[in-house]
Amino acid sequence: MIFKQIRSVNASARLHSKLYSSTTHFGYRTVAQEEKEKLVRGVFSNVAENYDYMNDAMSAGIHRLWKDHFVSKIDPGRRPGGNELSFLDIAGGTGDIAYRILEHAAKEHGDFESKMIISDINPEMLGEGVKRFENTKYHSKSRQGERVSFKVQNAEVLDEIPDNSQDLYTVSFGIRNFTDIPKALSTAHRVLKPGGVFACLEFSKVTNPLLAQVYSTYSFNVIPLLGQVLVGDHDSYQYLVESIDRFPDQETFAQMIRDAGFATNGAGYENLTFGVAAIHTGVKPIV
Amino acid sequence: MIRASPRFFTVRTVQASLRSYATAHTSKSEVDLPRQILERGLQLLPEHGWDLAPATRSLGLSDQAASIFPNGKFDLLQFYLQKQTAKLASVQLKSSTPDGCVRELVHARLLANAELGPYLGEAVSMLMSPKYLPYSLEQLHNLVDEIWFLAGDKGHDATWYTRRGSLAMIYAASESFMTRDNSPNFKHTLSFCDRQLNAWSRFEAAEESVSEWFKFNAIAAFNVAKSLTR
Repeated sequence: MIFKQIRSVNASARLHSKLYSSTTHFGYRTVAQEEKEKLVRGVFSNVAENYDYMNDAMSAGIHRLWKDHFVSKIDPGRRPGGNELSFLDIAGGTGDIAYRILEHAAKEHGDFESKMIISDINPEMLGEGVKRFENTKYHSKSRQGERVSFKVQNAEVLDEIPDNSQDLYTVSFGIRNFTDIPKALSTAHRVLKPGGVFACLEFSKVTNPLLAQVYSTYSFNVIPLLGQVLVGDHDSYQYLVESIDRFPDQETFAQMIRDAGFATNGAGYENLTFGVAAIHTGVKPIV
Repeated sequence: MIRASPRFFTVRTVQASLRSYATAHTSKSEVDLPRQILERGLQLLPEHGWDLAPATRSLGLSDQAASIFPNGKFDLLQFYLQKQTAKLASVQLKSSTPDGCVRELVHARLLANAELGPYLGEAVSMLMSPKYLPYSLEQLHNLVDEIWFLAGDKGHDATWYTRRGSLAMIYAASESFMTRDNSPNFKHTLSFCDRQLNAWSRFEAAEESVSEWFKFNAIAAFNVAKSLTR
């Protein structure tokens, strides 16, 4: 048993050093680890205001369907006879996943008690979320609003989130921007309760080679152009496309989730739209 | 006592060992947690039905854990059906004919539903729902295939399909009948099932004679035609 553990730790360390030695990548550029956080912050500060508008433009609105499916798949909400839950939405800046989770819990489970923490490393992105929530029933002066809190946090550390405290950890189109993904995964493992679920929605690899060709042509040529035309920012969108391409494929990422200590059901992921995006889930076993 | 390992069962063990390879060797967790949840769900089935939350709760897990099962309740139902099908291999058969064995096995499988009590109806309605129909049919096929195999049927002619198709229909009809059966030990269900099985073997015999008759007459007509044209 010990050997097995050592082997899996070694494997994850190898993967880790391969992907993230003292340098890391920022899109296709290789940069020092400390620098990536700053660069990513720059990108998202640039795009914060137009983030959801651009998502609509780039994906023809499909990102909304993905997000709806993501939330209905994880089916958040207090169960009959159970306790209220704690939700943690990481890289949740603009708050659209958090809002969907709260609405789903209310509509499907009559849950008006569970708590939501929205966390993002980027204060500008988080500011967008605060602004958006002010226009909903979860605004800061309402009773419902008390259930929601916003925290500027680095997902690799989450120093304000205690161990074993959360029931659900969601991260949607965020994890590929993290400097050290294995570290973020083990932090997710730390903050979740036993039985708590890690759920990630992220761009992934198109499996059909023909469609992959079409998709890569589209993403490398059209998306930076859209960024240029619609919001006057070519470079940030160039980064987005490159970072999508660099992100590990479905199987590799599922394995990284298992290496962080999560159990997966079967393969542990579901492809959306031919694998343009994928939903990965893992559950924290009893420790 | 141990029968030559049934096909279905072998396939299942191979799958199970593949899965345990995927989780146990590559993850820090030694137990297959999803399977553990499903096993506990089966233990709690007579009390709590198909809901997974009681299972996760009794294992000391967050209620949210159930969400790793994409079809929720139906995943527990599928797991239950697989287990029940696998259990048929241990039924002690008394009959000497394949038909008698089929009858015994179908009865055994139907009576296993007794423990579900009020939750059988929910199971049947889940199985019938269009969303799950492809999975339901697969489970049903596995069941009747296993029954024919255990009954010692080695036929591989065109009746392979009709035998499985007919038995599947008879089983599904009997199971639906069972949801409304209040008779002691499901007497009515078993006699309903027997009537269907008898009617089917009568039909099969009749069909055979009819096709024999047609074949004979076709050949005769051909010969007459041949003699006329000479």
